[in-house]
Amino acid sequence: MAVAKGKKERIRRGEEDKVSILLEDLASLESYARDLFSFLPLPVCLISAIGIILDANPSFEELSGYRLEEIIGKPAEEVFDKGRLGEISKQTLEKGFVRAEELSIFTKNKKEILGSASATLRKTEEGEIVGYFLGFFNLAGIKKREKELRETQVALANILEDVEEARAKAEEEKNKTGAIIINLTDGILVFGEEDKLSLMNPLAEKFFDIKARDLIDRPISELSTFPTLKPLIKVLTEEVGEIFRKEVSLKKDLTLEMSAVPVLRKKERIGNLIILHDITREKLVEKMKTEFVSLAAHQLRTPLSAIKWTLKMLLDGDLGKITEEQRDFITKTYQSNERMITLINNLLDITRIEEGRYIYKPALTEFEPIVQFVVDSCKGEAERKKIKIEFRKPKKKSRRAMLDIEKIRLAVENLLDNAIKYTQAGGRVIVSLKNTPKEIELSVKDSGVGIPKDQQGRVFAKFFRGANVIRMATEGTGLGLFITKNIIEAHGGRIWFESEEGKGTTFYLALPIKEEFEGFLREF
Amino acid sequence: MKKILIVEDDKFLRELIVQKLIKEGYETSEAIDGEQGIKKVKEEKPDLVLLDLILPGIDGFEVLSQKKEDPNIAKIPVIVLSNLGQKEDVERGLKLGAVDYLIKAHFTPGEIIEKIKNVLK
Amino acid sequence: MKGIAKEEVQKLMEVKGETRGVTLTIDRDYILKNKGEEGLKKVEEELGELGYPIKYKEIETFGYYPVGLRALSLLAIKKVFDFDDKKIEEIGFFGTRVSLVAKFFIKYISSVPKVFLREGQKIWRKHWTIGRLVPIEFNKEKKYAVLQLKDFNLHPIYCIFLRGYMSGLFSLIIKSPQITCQERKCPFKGDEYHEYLIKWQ
Repeated sequence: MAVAKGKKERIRRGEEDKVSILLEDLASLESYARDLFSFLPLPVCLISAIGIILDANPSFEELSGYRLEEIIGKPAEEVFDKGRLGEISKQTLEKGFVRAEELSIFTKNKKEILGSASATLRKTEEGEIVGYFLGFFNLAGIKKREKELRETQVALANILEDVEEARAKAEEEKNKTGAIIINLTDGILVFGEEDKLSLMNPLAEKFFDIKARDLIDRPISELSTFPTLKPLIKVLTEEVGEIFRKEVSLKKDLTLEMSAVPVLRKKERIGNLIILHDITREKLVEKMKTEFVSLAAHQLRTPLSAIKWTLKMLLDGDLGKITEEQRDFITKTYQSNERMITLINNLLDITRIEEGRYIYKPALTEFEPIVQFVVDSCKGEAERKKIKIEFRKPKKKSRRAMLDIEKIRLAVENLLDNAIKYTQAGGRVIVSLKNTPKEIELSVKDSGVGIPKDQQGRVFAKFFRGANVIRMATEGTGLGLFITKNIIEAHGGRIWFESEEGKGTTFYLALPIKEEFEGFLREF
Repeated sequence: MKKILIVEDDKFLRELIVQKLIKEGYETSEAIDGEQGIKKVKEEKPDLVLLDLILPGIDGFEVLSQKKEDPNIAKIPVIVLSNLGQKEDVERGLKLGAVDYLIKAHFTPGEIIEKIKNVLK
Repeated sequence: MKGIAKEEVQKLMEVKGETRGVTLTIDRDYILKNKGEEGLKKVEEELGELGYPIKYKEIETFGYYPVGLRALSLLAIKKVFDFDDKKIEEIGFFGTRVSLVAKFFIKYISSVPKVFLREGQKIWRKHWTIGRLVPIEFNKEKKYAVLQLKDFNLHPIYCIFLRGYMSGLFSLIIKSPQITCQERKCPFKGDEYHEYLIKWQ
């Protein structure tokens, strides 16, 4: 009996042990489940099939602003966006789950938070629907970033639009420029980096009888191997200083006026632009003019010479004695003829009348070398006439002025020519240069015939020639000083003279040094 | 007596100047074109040449040029007598060795004789 | 407030039967939430004075405890905080929100209210070793249900608690802005059993 009791006791104790172990296990399970549920950072709630929130985790409490006991039993549509929730629950019930569906939650503070909801259907073992777990992923941050992204996209699109517009405009400009360059009535060559040809327009192609594509990207050095380009390249490589309106003869019937301009970008030279202007026709006209002048001179003068000589010989008695009355008539005829000869001279010189009025292109140049050149070139003539020329240079450094070299040379030549012309053999011409604070002064002093006082006022007038020199000189149009005055005054300078008949004449000209010239131009 | 060769294609002018020259006591020789001119210079070696520039065949400049190259005749003085008056022509003539350049229409025969006298002095 | 008589305590503790720890943790959670740690301490002290000190935090949810203790806990709470019936009912309602056991059931029952009728008894047996909860009627159209609790005479205070608890349960399975529960019959009033009428809108 005691044994049986003891056995029962043992069995009972065994059962008790099992129970306590089971209880322990339950407690652990409870703890585990709670941990999982409680510490889940994602808001989760359990919604019953009829739409009542049955349970929620601490994350959900935090998100919604409701406490647990407030939210449990609450119809889910009061907390979430009714329409969307309906859709989600419908889908969940049908398919068993939804993933990342947009859903809004309305917190206790009536704030709407947009999120992404995922739901999973919960069924019993028998297959009866309990409800569904809904996890809510707060998209507020993402939505904000999405919004920012969208705004950035719009801004970018706007910028792109602007850029596109700018690009289209640039393209248009480029096309316009391209069209201009292509259709330009001047030839264009552009040299870019490393002196390689980067552009050549159709007219330039025509000038050189060559295709641009054969030349593009070749450096200047290579281009000189093309025969038609040789003259151009010669000028480009040899010419020192700026090339402006330089005449280049390509073929017999093609003369170009070449100008080179540096291409600048932000003050840096990135290339050279060569402009080629066809002046063949101008040259031709010039040639024709010259030829006409020569021809006219000759043709008209020939018969007039014959008349002059004949009448003179008559007057001189070389053809027999003449009466006083005859003398009278013949003299008058002679004079008329002389007038004709003069008229022809004037007419021929009318073409030169404007010469010197306008100066093409002043460049900063030293004056002294120009004078030296003229002195040197007149030495021959002076020697022939046995006239001594002296050139007195200033001790100090030669000054520079803005001068059109060709024209200034012409002016100085004229003065020196006159000095030599109107000085007798054995005479002397002194050419001196002097630097004053603001000017360079040139004086040409001769020991020649001088200018009669009563004629001095008209010295610079058109067609003026002193009465005493008309017989002396081989040639004299009376335009020389007129033109010289034009030239000097166009440079902003002054010209004047001092003369005494029988003793000699000194002509002076003064040219302003650079700064003054600019001032003069500004006043203009 | 000094011999003057006149190279001038215009008959009347040529005759006029020859007449004057003879009157002044010079011996004259005439050429009516450039070729004849240079030939006569070589052959006759005158004391002075009056040379027109516009001539049929080779022109006066060419004559000057050829004369310059021939040492036998290079030194013979030449006065250019032309109606071409442009500066370039004068320069060219003088460069080619002419001692003077006179424009016919600007000088009387008498003045020309004066020039000749001066050169032959 | 008058104290709980020693005889009352004695009588309660003599009632045969056991209850699950969860019924006590409901009290614990409620007090903690509303009265804090201090509040809980006070209740524990009161129970200590009554001779049955319990440490609420050591209660095992699924453990078994004397049924009397359950009533005692409520009585102690009532005394300490001077709660009225409404408050007790509130604790009952609250219980449905936090009770793990309730949660177990809800997952089964909530889908179909009718299932409740079928499964209703199970809930009771999970919590108590004595008594029977008998679903009588579930009228969807008229919006009421009737439940009877038999062979269970603990303490009137528990009847009040149960009212809240039942409202709570039903609120989880029926969508209604308001759910009421009243005790139509009660053994402490001379009836044979407890009868509860739950009404909704």
